[in-house]
Amino acid sequence: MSVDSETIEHMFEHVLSLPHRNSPVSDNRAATLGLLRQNINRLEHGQLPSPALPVIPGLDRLFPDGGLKPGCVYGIPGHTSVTWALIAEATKRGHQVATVGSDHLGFRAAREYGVVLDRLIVLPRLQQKLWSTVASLVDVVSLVVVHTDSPPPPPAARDTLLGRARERECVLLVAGPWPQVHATVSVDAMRWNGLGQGNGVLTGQTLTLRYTPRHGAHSATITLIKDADGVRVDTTDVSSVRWLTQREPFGHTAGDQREAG
Amino acid sequence: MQSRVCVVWCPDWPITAAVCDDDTSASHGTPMMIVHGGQVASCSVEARNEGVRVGQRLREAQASSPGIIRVPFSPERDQRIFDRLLSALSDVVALAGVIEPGMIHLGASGLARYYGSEEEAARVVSGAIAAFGVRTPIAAGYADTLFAATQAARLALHAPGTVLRVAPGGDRDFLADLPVECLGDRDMAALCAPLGIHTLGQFAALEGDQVAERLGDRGRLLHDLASGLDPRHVVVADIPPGSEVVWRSDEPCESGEQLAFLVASSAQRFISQLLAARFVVQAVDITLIDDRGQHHRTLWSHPRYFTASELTHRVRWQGESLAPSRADTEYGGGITEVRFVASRPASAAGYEESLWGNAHRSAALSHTVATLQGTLGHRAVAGVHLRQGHDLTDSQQRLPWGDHRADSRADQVDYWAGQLPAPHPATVFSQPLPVSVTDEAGHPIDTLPVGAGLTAAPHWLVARGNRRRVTAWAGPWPVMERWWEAQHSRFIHRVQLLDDTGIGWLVTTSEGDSGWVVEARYD
Repeated sequence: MSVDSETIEHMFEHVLSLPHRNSPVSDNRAATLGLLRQNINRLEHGQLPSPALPVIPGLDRLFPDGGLKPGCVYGIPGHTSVTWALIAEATKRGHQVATVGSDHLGFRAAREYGVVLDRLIVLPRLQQKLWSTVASLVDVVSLVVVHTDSPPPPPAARDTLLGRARERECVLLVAGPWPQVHATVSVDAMRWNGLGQGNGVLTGQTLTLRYTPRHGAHSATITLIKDADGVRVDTTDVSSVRWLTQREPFGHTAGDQREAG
Repeated sequence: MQSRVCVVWCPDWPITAAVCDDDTSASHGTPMMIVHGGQVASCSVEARNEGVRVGQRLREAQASSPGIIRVPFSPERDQRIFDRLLSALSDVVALAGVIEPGMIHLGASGLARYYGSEEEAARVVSGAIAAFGVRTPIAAGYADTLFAATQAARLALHAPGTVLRVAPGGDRDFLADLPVECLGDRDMAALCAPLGIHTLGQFAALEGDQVAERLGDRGRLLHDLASGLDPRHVVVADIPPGSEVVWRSDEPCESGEQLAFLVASSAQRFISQLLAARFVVQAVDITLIDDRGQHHRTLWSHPRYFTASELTHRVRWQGESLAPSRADTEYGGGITEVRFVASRPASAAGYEESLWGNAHRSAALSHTVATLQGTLGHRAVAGVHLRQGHDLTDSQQRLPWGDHRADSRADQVDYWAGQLPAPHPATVFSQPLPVSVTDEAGHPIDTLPVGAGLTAAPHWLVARGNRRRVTAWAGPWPVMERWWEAQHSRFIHRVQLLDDTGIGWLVTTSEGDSGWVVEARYD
């Protein structure tokens, strides 16, 4: 435990060295460049918040924010299919994604879900340096998937990590213990087609996902179908997104909840 | 005004490189030859005087010169020593292009203007090359086109002062008398001889369009060359000064850690020299030389460009990787010399941060990846590379981030006999997990010989005391792995199972082995 807390204390050290290295030759222009960028940013985006990280078309209806909200932690189940389904669209749109902590990944299935493997950085199962590694990655990629069975970092370090993730607009998907996630995505039901008693072969998968936010009793489900034609949301079911206890509609947008700074 | 090209040629460069390199037995003034593929690839002047010729068979060469020394064939050494020569030349010429190791081309107009005349410029360049340690006569040729200048340089050895100038506008006349073989295209030479075309002049007299019609683009290019119309642009690059840095120590250094510490300042000097010349380096050739004179060479590439500390990490990894190999050879003290050679310098301008901020994240990403590779190990931060194969784990490789992109063409994996059909399992175990597959009564199930099926329908899947009921199954599908290698061939049977929680499993058993393992999970 002492090792862990020490690691966590040092977890953001590398951040200090970052700005000095942006430009190989001329560091003195960095300030001017930053100012220009700020101006461009203001002109282009006004004060609009950055949009949510995209998910597979149709699946966005499951998420009140229209996708994965930057700076938030989502709890995900151990089913690897769910990981691939959630990160696929982001990699397609050019976002860099990292996965840490799992040595048992099927990358061909990932490609079937639409994951662009060139945009996937894979790190193995780590013992002590897990959270410091995640902290480094949060800085530079749009989404980090963490598979862990070790305890989450202590509250102070967790807040720092989350603050960093918010600032860098990075989404964390954690398969493992994490207190106070923004929301949980879980598997309600999974069905495979094609296999009989001694005959056939697995052909298609039906996956019912449930979205449960931290606050509020409402949760929603959606059904994904994956077969030879690809991945899509089940549209035969008219109310493919079902709010199970709909106390209040998801009227708010990402912007309403956004913290200043 | 027509621009002029100068070609400078050091004949017998492989021999010269061997003499200049410290680690071979070659010495100047003795008959020497380099043999490749049973034929003499290169020989020294002394050997030539004794009757040895390039292209001769090894036996004939040894017969004409009994005392001849055989120098190992090493294109890498030729290139390496030539790169060093180029660095040395940076004092006298600003820009040079390499045609092959031993031959460079220079933009002649500026050179002649600066040194007064073309002859004088050639003298200065030759002097600099001789000062580097090249003892053979150095030839220089001037012409309007690159091809003519190259031919002039080859003929210049017999010209006074070893400089041959083709007068401006005289390329076509100069080339006209040369044999067709000068084009360096054996097929074309063989084609021309029966047609009665023996000189470049005769070849150039043919109608250009007709040559192109019959011989395609290659024919047109050769025709243009022969006509003194070299369409190739003369591309010359800045010579990066100091693209090699050497660290030496009297005390052999044994551990990689210690070595990395010692070379840190050399690495810093190497990078800052290049940066001062506005170059960044994406690939570095690091050679560790131990106290027995053995060379351990590795080419390291970087997704972006190296910094001094990253370079130091590479030295440490390389030093550490040597440690196991040391155990089995009688190895002395340790490393006494480290050489850095920039093998892919790129202009730093391409790496400046862009105004629009696109490059920002990727720059930071490379930096972070490099840092993590430094602390977790080079292979720990990986990209995915899919390739063909029966074995699920083998067919998806994790390659160090940065190296994996070099080979992304294999990303479109076609059908491979015996491969698992889509959909593929989302979870693939890096180490297959032992399980047992039993029938209703709990008796283990086995496969019948020659793909005749299973001894009973699977009913339970048992792993570490947990038991799941099998609701559907199919198989077994036989797969022969490595059938071409008797010792390693393996005959396996695969079965797909579905348990009562809706999760699919891929279980496998080997021929002659009653146990089952889980290869992958469809979850």
